Formats: sequence, structure tokens, C-alpha cells
Amino acid sequence: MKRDIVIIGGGPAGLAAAVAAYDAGARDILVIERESVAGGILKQCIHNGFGLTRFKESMTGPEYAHKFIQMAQDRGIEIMTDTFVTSFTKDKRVECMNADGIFTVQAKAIVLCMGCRERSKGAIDIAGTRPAGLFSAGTAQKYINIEGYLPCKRAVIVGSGDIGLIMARRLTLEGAQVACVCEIMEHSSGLKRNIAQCLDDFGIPLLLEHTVVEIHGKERVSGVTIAKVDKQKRPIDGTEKFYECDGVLFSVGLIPENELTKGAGLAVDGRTKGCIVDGDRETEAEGIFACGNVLHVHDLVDHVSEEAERAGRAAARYAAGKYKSKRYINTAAGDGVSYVLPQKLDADGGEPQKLYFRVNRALRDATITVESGGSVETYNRIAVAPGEMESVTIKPQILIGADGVKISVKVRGE
Amino acid sequence: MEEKHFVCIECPRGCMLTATFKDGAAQVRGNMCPRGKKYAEAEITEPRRVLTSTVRTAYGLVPVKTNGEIKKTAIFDVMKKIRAAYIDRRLDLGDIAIADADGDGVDVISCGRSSD
Repeated sequence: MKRDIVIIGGGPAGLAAAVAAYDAGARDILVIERESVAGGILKQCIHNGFGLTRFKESMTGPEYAHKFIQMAQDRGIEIMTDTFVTSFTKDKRVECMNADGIFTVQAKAIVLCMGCRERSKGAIDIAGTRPAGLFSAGTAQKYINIEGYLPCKRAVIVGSGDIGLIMARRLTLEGAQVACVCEIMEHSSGLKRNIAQCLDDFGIPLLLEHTVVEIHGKERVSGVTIAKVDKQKRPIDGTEKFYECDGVLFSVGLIPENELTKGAGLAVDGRTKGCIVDGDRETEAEGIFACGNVLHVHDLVDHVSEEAERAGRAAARYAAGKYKSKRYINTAAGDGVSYVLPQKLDADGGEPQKLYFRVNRALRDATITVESGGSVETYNRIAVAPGEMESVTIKPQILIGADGVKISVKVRGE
Repeated sequence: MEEKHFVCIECPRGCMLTATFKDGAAQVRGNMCPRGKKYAEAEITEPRRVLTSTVRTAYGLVPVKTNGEIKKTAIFDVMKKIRAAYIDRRLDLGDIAIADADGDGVDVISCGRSSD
């Protein structure tokens, strides 16, 4: 089979990329989705708050997904569901498998939209037994919201990422008790609004600088021991406390799902855990683009859609042969910044570029500095936090003659 | 002078709001948009929330939400109705699953479609 554009993954990134590619003139587009329905993780994110940036209204996950599924259907874009991509190559051969067998699609351009998955309990070292009742927060979310099963009656949530916070509320609403949410860091990595509306609204305690040191139970988890940690994140003797529970939910971070990418021989950035891309979200392999959570983990689906549209439009240009060579300069994370995306920019691109970045610590009254060649631009923010992705849009002029762009963040006036 | 602090939940920015009471009227600070002011005022007088959940239907589980804010104190009453409900028909996006669920005229509506 030959197709102009193959999009791997039919979640929010894949759908937005497909729609944008179509609107940029592409017609021969194939979206490959491993589940039986498109929409990705949004299907199980039944809470509201999606789409505020983009649509100026608060939608639930299924409603946000539906908007994009509808747009794809209106354009007649083919979404091949129940189909698994087993590998792809730099020359854009995509190996697939479904109930009909194994087949190859030769694409002119590929957009990688495989999303991310949760870090598991195994990724954080916890002593104790391995009973039933230990779930990643997203798995528990799927049990409740898709399958209709309540996985436990009294839960402890480990890690205060947004999914963990959302699940604390969800379990409570469905009649379970949530003993506490424990977080090893000094700050929650979740959004402040989620601490307010998911924990504070229901009187669920958030234990900062606390971690689980032991899991108890034989067949089924019967409780956990939680201890306070010191500045080096080591449990402090004498602070251990037992919490009875029949379920432990882990919300300890997300990792871009890049097994296919690595299999194709593409390099993965150690900080973002995604591909190294330019402003078009083109990877080091010509005509292969990446966007959404497979590229770097986003906090807001609105940003995923925006990024995917950029990748989709570029893929359409590439597939149509309307692509010129690029002259790259690198972006760099300066003081206070953990990463900048994209990692490189087309110096002659001539378009404003939106640079996304994450700060490495929470600051109030922050000043963002963008240095490029001789030009220095500053932007002020009331507050920045590692859990909330920041962005600045830079003018194309400041790239002229520059050999790099560096973003740094500090407290105003320092 | 009494002060109350809130984290605005209207958008992901999460503004830190401060409400100061002076002569019975609330002054709101820290909001970056009018929604924050409205939110803080409601938190003082009568906090309200949009509630989301799922409802059982003859054609599978369907995500639902209240099509407006309900009183925070009504959340568990409405949840009770949602948990007890069994809808014997297909639901499409926006269809009413439970009419007047909070007794104040707010319906619980479908956010998805029944599967086949």
C-alpha cells in the first residue's frame, strides 16, 4: 500500500495532525490507531477543563476528542483502527499488523503521534510485597471510566501528578475513600487548580516530602508505610506511619512512547525523551515528523493540538514536494530552564517561532530572557512552575546572523 | 479586615486570589481575568462546580457532565442519582441523561456516544 501521509496514532495529536495536513492540501492521509476507537487517552479523561485555551470553553476529554474525530470524518480522512504499527524505517516504510494480517505501507511523509505512557511502580524503588491492588493512576482511571469497575475502596495515591489528583476526586465521587496523596517533592507536579478542586474540595490530605517506604499485604494490598523524606529524598527514621488501604495508585510521571522511534534508529533527547526536532517538528529523518506527547509530555491538550497542526501542515508540504532545505541553529536551555523545544530552528524560516520550555524550579515574579546573537528580549511572568509548560514567541528577525537561541529564567531584578 | 484566599479553578493558570471584605462587599485581587473575580465571589457566597462522571446505559458506559455548575453541597446527591441511573436507550452527544438532577434545573448530559 502507498499513502502520501501516514500518521501513527489516532489520539489528539494524530487527529489534529491529520486535519491540518488535509487543510494544507493533502488528501491521501492514513491514520493508524491500535485501539478500536480514535481519541486516545481523552476517552478516559472524563473530567472537564479541556479546550479552554483553544476553544474558550471547558470541555470534557471525550467532547474534545469528538470535535477532532468529527473534523476528521467531515474531511473523509481514513482512520484505520485495531491496527498496530510494529516498526517503521527512515525511508518511511511502515510495517503494520491487524486482524487481516501483516502489511507494509510506503509513505511519503510520516507523523509520529504515539503519545506517552505512565511510569510504573517498578520505575520507583519501593520495598515490600507485590500484592494485587497496585495500579498506575491511568489504569485505575480506565477501570472506572471505561470499564465501569471501582478498583478499590480505600486508596493511597503515590505522586501528585495531575492524573493522581484527578483520580483522588474520581474515587471519592464513586464512593471510595482516599487516605492521602503523598509526594516526594516539595511541590506538587500537578496544576494548582487540581489541588484545589480535587483534593481541597474533598478534604483529601496532600503529604509533601513524603514517600511510601513499604507496601504491605499478601494476596491483596492491606496498607502502606509512608515516611517523611529529608532534603536528599531519604526517608527520615521515626517518621514512618501506616496507612490502611486496599489500593495504591501510582501517578509518578509520563514517558513518551518511543520504542518505534528508537527501532528506526532515530535519536531520542535525554531530557524530553522524545525526538530532536525543528520548528516544523521534523525529526532528524527527512519527512518524518513528531508531535504531541511522543515528542515531549504536555500539560494541556490544547498545546498538543497546536503542535500537531504545525507538524501536519509541514508533512503536507513535504509530501507535496514543496519543501526547501533548512539551515539550522540550535536552541539551548540556560539557567533555570530544563529544556527548550524545538531543539533547533530554521534560521531562514521567516516565520515567528513559538518556543516551548519548562523551568526547573518554581519562581514568582520571573523574567524570561531570550538571547539570540546580539539581541536580548525579556518577558515577565507572575509565576512559573516546572509542572506548567511555558512558551515565548520569537520574531524571525532575531534569528538573522545568530548562531543559537538561549532561554533562561530568573527572579525579576536579580 | 478579613481576608480569604483561593486558587482559581477556572483555567490551568490557577491564579492565587485574595478576597478582602470591606463594609460587607468583597474586593478580589490576584485575578488575571473577570472569571477569577466571579469565581472568588461565588466561593464566598455559594461555591459551585461542574460535575463529571459516567452513566450506565443499555449500550455501555457513557461519560456525562452537568450542563452547568451545581452547588458544591449538592455534588454527592447528584452523584447518587448518577450512580443509580440506568439508561435504556442510546445516548448521543448532548442528550439529557438525567433531567433536573440537582433540583435547580441543571441536567446531566451525555459527553459521548453509546457504543454499538
